[in-house]
Amino acid sequence: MMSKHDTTSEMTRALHDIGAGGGGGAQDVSGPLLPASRFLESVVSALKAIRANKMRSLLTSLGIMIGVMNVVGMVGLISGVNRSVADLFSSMGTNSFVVTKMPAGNFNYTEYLEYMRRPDFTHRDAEAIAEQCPAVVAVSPQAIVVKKIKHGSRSTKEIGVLGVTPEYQYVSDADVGDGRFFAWPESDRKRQVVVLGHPVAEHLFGERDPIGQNVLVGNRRFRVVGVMSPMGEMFGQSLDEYVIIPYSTVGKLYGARLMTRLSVKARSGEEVDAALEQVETTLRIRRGLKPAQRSNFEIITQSQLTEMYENLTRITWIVMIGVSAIALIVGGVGIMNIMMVSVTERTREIGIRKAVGAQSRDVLTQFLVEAAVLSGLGGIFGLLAAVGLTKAVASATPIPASIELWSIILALGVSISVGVFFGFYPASKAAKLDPIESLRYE
Amino acid sequence: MLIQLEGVTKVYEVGTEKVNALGGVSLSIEKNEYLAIMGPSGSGKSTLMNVIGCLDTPTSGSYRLKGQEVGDLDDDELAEIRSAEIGFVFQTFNLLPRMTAFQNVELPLIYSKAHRRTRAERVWGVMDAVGLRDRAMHRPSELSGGQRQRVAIARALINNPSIILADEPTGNLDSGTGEEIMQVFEGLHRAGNTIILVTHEEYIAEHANRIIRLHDGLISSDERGVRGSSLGGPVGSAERV
Repeated sequence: MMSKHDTTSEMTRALHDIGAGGGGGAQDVSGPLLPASRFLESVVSALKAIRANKMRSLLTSLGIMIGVMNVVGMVGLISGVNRSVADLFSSMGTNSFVVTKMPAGNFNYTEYLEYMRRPDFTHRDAEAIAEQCPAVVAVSPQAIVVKKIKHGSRSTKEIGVLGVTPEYQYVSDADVGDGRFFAWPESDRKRQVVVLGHPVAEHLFGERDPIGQNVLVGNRRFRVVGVMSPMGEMFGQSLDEYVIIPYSTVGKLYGARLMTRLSVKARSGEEVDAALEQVETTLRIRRGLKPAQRSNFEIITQSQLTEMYENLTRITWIVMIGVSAIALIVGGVGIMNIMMVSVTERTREIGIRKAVGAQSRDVLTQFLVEAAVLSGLGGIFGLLAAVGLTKAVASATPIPASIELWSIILALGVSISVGVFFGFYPASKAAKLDPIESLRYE
Repeated sequence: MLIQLEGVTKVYEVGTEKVNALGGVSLSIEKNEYLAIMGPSGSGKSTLMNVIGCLDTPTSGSYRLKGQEVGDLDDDELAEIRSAEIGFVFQTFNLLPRMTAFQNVELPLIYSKAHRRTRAERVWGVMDAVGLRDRAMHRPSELSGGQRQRVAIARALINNPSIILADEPTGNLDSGTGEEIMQVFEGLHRAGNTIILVTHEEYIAEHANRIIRLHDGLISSDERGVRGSSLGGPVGSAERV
């Protein structure tokens, strides 16, 4: 402590220097304070308040952390799955649809038998569609048998052997990576030529060039003319484990009545509906159906598949999101609880702040920001946990879960909103405190 | 006239009972007065201080601060007036424990929306004025009682207020330190500030130029020039009830 003499004289001088004398208010120091910098200050002071109670803050934000981890993890999972499903559907080919005996979706055994009794499609159906439907640009019949493919001592497991016409490559948008697709003359002459799926070629030939080599499809000898470009994986299952041979060859080797469906491609996106109608009409006429009779075939579009997928999965997602929401609500109530405690503990602080000029909304903002920051920190931790979780899921399971940029926005958005929502009641309680009572609070 | 109270009453309801804390107080205070409000506990001096300090509004009567009627302002308008016109010094210092002395002094500037750049300059100015520049970065817990009260005084000064209201400012200090704090107020008064001191200690009140005594919510005496013979004798009662 300084001596009394020193302090007094020094202070008197200094007091004259600062020009005390009252009545000035604060005009000389007032100026526009940017809301952004003011906001930043409240965040900094909120962080300080949170740091003062580390353990309590950590425990409080745990609920939000779990909630955000759930939400972000779930959304990552959902979008990952949705994306690969969308990929799968689009592998059907852009603007393409299929005509089948059986509808997509669930049906019982009686219905199954009924569908099986429907007439098969013939290559004449395909030809008729190609000729009579102006909105259709390509149509290919498809027959599938399952065989092992062998070359020398190497053999695949049983995989799909797809019988199609050369138009299939236009219908499905499938690319030939190496060599070529088989041509119409080969198809017409029922040649034993084969285009291999990418992993099949790799498995049988390794580094060697398969083009021109012979393979056994079942026990029939086929010449390899091409290898398809890989389409990738879906749920850990390769989409490329198949081989393609001419449709006519399938008929010759395995019987003519194997036709299971027709793949049809519309001329453009706008003409998909027209193509659907024309195909339906053409087939109904060919089968001599009366207007009142139901069609005895099904047309399955990509949007139908997508819709079906969405219907199947919607409930699951709703339940998962619901669980996450409950976690967030519980977390939010935790925030509210701790903010109530904090407001009570800091009653005197609130009184002091009000005495020196804080308005209700200053106090409201302070506690809202504190709740939001507390909750937001939980959100950040939850996000980190979700990143870890999705990485673990993606590496341990075939589900292609991933966190995207907007997940980060979602995590922060959700957690901060929860903080603001549940912090509002305690904050408004703080804002309404009477300064005199608060200053007296022990 | 800086402060003008006319027939100010304050009635509190405690349960079903009504308590007349102020029974009709009229009082004028001019700029650069150094005034002490005295009275036993329950005399209404705290209530009067709260009204003058714009923490509370009168139940009836008129309170004009720099000509502005305060009685019908809402809470936020009162806060604005406190921010611009009033500097409080409390018995228990009322510093925020987690903030440094500097930040405590800076606090009113945040609420008066002073620009960030001018704030530091202002804070250093008043820290110098109370002789605490070298303790500015310490927290209240690291300061002595006298130093804490100086920080509180610096905080009261920061917005250059019209009135400095000190409620038992030496109540929690030993007599030596208390005397030092009274010297600080002395300096502030000499520099042109208006100071209102609330105390029940006669020797503290004697620092002021004018002493108002309250009894049962009414002014019982109003003496001027009580300090030394140079200021002249008592000028009598200014009661206008």
